[in-house]
Amino acid sequence: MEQYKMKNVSKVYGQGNTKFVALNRINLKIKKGDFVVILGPSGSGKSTLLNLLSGIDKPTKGEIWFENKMISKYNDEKLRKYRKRYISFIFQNYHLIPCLNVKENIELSLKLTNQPIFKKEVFKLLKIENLKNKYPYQLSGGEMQRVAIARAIIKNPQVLFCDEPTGALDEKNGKVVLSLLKKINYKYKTTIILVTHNPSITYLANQVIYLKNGKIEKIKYPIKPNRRLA
Amino acid sequence: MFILLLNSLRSFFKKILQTIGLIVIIFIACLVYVALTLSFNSLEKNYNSYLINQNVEDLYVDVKVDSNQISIKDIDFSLVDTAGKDLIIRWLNNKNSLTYNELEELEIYLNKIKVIQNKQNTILKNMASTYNFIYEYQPSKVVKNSDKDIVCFSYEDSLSINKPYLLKGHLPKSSNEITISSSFAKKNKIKINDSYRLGDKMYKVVGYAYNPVYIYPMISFTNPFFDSAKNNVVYLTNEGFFKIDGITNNGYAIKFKNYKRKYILNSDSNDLMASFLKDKNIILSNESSARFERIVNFKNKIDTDKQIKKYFSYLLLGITIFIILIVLKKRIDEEKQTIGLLKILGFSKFSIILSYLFYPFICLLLGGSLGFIFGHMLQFLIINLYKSNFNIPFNYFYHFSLIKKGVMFLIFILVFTFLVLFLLLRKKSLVLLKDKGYLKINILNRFTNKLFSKLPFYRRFKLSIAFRSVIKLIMVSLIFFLTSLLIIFGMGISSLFKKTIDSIYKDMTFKYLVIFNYNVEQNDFYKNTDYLLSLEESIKKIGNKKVKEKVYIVGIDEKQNYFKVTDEKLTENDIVINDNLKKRYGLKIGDIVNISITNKIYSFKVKGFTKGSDDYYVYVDRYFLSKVLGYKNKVYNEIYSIDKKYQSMNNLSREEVTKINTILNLNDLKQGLQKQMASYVSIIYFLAFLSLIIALVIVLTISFSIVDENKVSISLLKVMGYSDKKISYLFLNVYFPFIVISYFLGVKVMEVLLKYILSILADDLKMDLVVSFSSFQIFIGLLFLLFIYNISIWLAKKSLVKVSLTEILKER
Repeated sequence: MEQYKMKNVSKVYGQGNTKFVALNRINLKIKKGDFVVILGPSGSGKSTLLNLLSGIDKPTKGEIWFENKMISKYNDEKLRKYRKRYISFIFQNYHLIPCLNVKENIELSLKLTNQPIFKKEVFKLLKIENLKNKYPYQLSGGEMQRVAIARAIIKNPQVLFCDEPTGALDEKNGKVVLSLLKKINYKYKTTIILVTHNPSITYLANQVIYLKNGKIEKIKYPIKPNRRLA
Repeated sequence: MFILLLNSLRSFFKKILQTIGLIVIIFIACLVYVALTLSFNSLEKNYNSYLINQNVEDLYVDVKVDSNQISIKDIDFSLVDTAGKDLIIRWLNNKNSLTYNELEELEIYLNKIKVIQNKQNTILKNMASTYNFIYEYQPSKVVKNSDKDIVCFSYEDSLSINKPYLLKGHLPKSSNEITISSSFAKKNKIKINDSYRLGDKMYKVVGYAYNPVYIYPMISFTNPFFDSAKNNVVYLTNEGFFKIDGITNNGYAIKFKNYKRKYILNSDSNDLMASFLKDKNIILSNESSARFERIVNFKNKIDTDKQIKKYFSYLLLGITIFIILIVLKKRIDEEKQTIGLLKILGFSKFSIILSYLFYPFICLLLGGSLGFIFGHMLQFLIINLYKSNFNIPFNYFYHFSLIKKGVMFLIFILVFTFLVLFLLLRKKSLVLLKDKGYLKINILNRFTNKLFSKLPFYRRFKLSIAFRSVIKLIMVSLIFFLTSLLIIFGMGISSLFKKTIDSIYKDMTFKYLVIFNYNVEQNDFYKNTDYLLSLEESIKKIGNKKVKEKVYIVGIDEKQNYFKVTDEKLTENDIVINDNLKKRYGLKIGDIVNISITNKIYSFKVKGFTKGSDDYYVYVDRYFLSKVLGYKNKVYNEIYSIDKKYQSMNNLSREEVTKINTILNLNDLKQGLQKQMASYVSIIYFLAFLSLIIALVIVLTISFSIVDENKVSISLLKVMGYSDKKISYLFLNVYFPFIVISYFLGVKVMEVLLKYILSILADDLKMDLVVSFSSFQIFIGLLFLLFIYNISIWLAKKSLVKVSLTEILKER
C-alpha cells in the first residue's frame, strides 16, 4: 500500500530575478514500511523534499498524498496535527534540549501520543538505560544521537524522517545509528525517509531516490523488501 | 575594521525589537536622570537666589520683656482710655495685684501704646552687635472674610528683611491699596485695579506679589493646609496695616550677617543661631516655628526628593548596564564561531572588541540623546509641579550642564563593556570555533531540576528554562520585587492616611475650633458650643514610676456635644486618658497619674479612655481646672462650635476679634489634609507606574532573548507538533511563579518595613499609626503586576510565532 504519493510537485522560492526552483515536477510513491534514502549533492532539493513530505513546508504546485489524504492542501494547524500524530524526526545535530536530562528529552515526545512504545523497551533497544539522568552536555555525539532516536521513536510514529543522521558522527557511531534505524524499520514497521549525501548508506534502502537540480534523476530499488526483512 | 563595524551594525537592524528595547531602557534611564538632576539643580538655584535677593529672615522671634523693666516714665497715658489708665497705674503700684485675666488685658494696653515694643527694640539693639544681625519688627494680621483667611503684612520702601517679590503691577503706595497672592487672584478671578473687601473696608488691588515667608504656604502647624482659593497673603501700606482689625502676630524678623543658613530649628547645637536662641529674652512662638518651616520646607523637600532621585537613578543606570551586557553576551555566544574565524583570519582581539562596542555605542547615543532632549523638556514639567506647591519665582534653568556628565557616563559604560567583552573573548580561536557552550547548564539548574523532579513534566520544563539563566531570573524577580514594594508602599500609605484622617476626625462633629488668646471667664453659655480649657503641662509620675512627658490637659464639661470624651461625670480626681498615652505607658483604669499644673503636682485616678487625637491628651473636669488656675468660675480658651458666625471675622464683634487667636474650619482642615496626603500617594504611584514600565521593558527584552537563545528548541517543538500556545507557555511564561513569589515577598517586606518606620514615627508624632492591607488590595496589586507581565509575554509571543520550522534544519 502506498503511504506517500507526490504528483507533479514543485517548490519555488522567491520571485522575479530571485526566483529559485528547488523542486521541479516531482512524482514519486513511497510504500508503508519502506526504507527510503534520498541522495543528492548540495542544492539538489533533498531538504526541500523532506520538508514537503514531513509537513514542515507546503509545495508551490502539485499534490502530496499521505494515506489517501491530500496533505498539500492542509493549513498550518492541520499540518501540525499531522506531524504530531504520524511523524518523527532525527537531525544531524541531534537538537536535544540542553536543560532537560535524557529522560526528560524523551518525555517531551511521549507527551504527544496516546500509544507510545514502552519506555524500557526503547531504552534497552538504544542502550541508553545508564544515561537516563544525564544532561546533553555530558553525552558523546553517538550517545546524543541515540537519545534523539529514542525521542523520535518513543511516540511510535508511522514515518521517521532522518536528516543526515550520521553527518556529525564518526564511522563507528554512524554504523551503530544506521543499524538501529534498520532495526526500528524492521521491528516497528516504521517508514524511514533518510536524507543524505553519503552514497554508502544506500545499502540499507529498498528505494533510493537520486535528486539533481530539483529533479529526480533516477530511482533505484537495491534490496527487495522481502530480502531486506530476511 | 570597516567590515567588522558593518557586521556589527547589521545586527542593529537584524534584531530590531531587541535593539528598540535596549534604546528604550537607555532612554528611560537618561530621561529620569537628566530631568530630575536638571530640575533639582534649577529649583535649588532659584530658591537660593530668592533667599538672597529678598533677604529672607533666618528667624522670627518674640522678645520677652520683664515687667520690672517698665516704669511710669515709659508710658504715654494720653494714648489710653480711663479703664486702661486705672489698670496700668494699679499694676505699676503693685505688680502682683492683677488677676490672670487682668494681666492679659494689661498686655493689650501696653502693646497698643508700644511700651513693650520699645523695650523689645532696646533689648534687640544690644543683642544685634553681639550676634551680628539686623532685625525688623514685622507683625502680621489674620483677617477672616467669609470662608477666606487673609494674612496681612505691612509694606514700606525701607523694608530690608523679607522684601516682597512683585509679580505684576506695583506695591501699595496709599492706605487703600493692596497687593494680593497671584494664585488667589487667579482662582477668585480678581484682576489688577479690581476692588477687594478686607474686613469692613474696600481696597484697590494694585499688584500680585509673593511674600518670602510664605515660600511653602503653610498657615500654621495647627492649620497647615493652604488652599490657594481660600488663603490669601496681602501687603498693605504701614498705615493701612495698622488700621485693619484682625488676629495679630507680633514678632521680629532676624537676619544674621555672614551666617550660613540652617534648615533645622535647633537650640541645642553650638552654632550662632542656637546660642542666640538660648538667650533668656528670646521667645520662639508658634508663629516663629511656622515661618521657619514655610521658608526651609522647600529645601528639606528638595533634599528628600534628591535622595529618592539618587537611588532611583542609580537603580535605572544599573539596570541599563546590565541589559547592555546581557544583550552583548548573547550576541557573542551566538557569534562565537564567527569570532573564532575572525581571529584565525588575523583580526586582532582589540579590533573585534571595538566592533562589538559599536552596537552599544549606537544604542547609547540614540537612547541617551533622546533621553537628554526629553529630559530637558521634562525638567519644566517637574519645576511646574513644585511651582504649584511653592511660591517662588523661577527665572533660572539649567540646560547643558549635564553634557559633560553624559559623555563621562557614556565613556564609563563603554570602558566597562570593553572589559567585559575582553573577558568574554579571551578564549583562543580554535576553542571558540568548536565551542558547544550552548549545551552547558549551571549547577543551580541541575539542582533545581532534581528538586522539582516530582512536579508534572511541563512545570519542570518551565522551571528548567527559568533557571537556565540565573542572572535573568534574578533581574526579573528583583524588578518585580521593587515594583511590588512601591505598589504596596502606595497602598499602605494611602490606607494609613485614610485611617489616620478618619481616626482624627471620627469623633469631631463640630465645624469650628476657636482658640483664644487668653482664658475667658464664662459669662454666657451657648447650647451649640463646647467649652474647653486646654493647657500644655507635663506628667511627672505614673503609679510609682517617675516619668517626664509633655501632655495636653483639657478641662471639659459633663456634657460634650461635639467631641465625646466620656459620658460619666468627672470628679476632681478623675482623669480620662487618650489611646496614644494609654498605649505608650500601658495604663489601666484605676492607675494614678501625677501631673504638674502651674508648677504644682496634682494626683488623678484613671477613670476611662478615649480615642482620637494625634498627641498625648488627658481630660479633667473644667471647673476643677479653672479653680487650679485661680479662677472662681469656669474659664475656657478653646471652643468647639457649629455656629456659622465663625465663618467670617465680619460676623464677630471687635471685642471678640481681639480675644481670638485662631479660628479653624474643620472641613477645610480635613480637605487640606486629604489633598496633601493624596499628592504624596500620587508621587508614590507615579514611581510604581514608572517601575511597571521598566519591568515591562525588562521582561520583554529578556523574553526576546529567551526566544533567540532557544530558537532551535522552539523550532524543534514546532516540528514535533507542539502548538504555539503550548510553546509560549513553556518558554515565555517561565517567570510567573517567581513574579508571584517576588510580589508576596514584597508585600511582607514592605509590611514589616512600614510597621518599623511607623513605630518610630508613632513615638515621634505621638500618634497611633497602624498599617494593614486588605486581601482585596493585595489581590489588585498582584493583578497589576500580572497584567504587565502578560502584556510583555503577549508581545514576545509575536517573535516566538515567527520562529521558522526550518530553523532546526540549519546547521549549528
